[in-house]
Amino acid sequence: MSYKEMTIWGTLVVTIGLLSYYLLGINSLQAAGELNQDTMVSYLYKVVVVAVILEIIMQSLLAAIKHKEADLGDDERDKLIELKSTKLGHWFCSAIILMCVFLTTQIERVSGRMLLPEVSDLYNIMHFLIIGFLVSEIITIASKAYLYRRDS
Amino acid sequence: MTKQLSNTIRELRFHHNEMTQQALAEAVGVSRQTIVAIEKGKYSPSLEVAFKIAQLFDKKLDDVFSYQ
Repeated sequence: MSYKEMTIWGTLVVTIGLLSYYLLGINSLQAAGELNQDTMVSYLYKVVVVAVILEIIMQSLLAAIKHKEADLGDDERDKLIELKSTKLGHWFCSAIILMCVFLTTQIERVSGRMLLPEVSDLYNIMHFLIIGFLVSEIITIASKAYLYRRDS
Repeated sequence: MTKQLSNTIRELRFHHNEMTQQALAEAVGVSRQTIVAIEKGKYSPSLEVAFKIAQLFDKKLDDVFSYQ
């Protein structure tokens, strides 16, 4: 397996792990009755720090294992695959943003009936956006992995 | 019937002292995986890469690639 593919699979595992970590964390805060805007924001910072650390560790490990390939840039096929998968993720992300815009226009109707009743509507929309962003990242990376596998 | 791009790269490599895919990739400035995909007909290279491959083997473009 090439360095590029290994990086893609590594990033996919890290992103799925992050989404699970975020959802489980919010869920356990909710179950413990400790979920409020402050705990949600501090947990979010924690998730961001964990994401950065995991990504650095993964990239360093892969670069150490495959140091020759790590120095090579992207060729035309890599760029094409990047473009196709980013486009797919972009569509999903746009759909999530449009849903959030719709939610905002209907805020009076849905107020207090969202996923996390413990926090304000604004934080609920943020929660929805974070999940949407991570899922769109997973879609982008998974489609990249598929396109590399299909052509190899 | 749909036409497909095919090539004779594998054969040309064989006649050039069994040139490796890695050596060809380095010569034309792409990754080995891209050469694998081109050889299998799963990826159509840009004109620039196609010309580089043909020039490397001292052939015309349509001696290397055909669309039928």
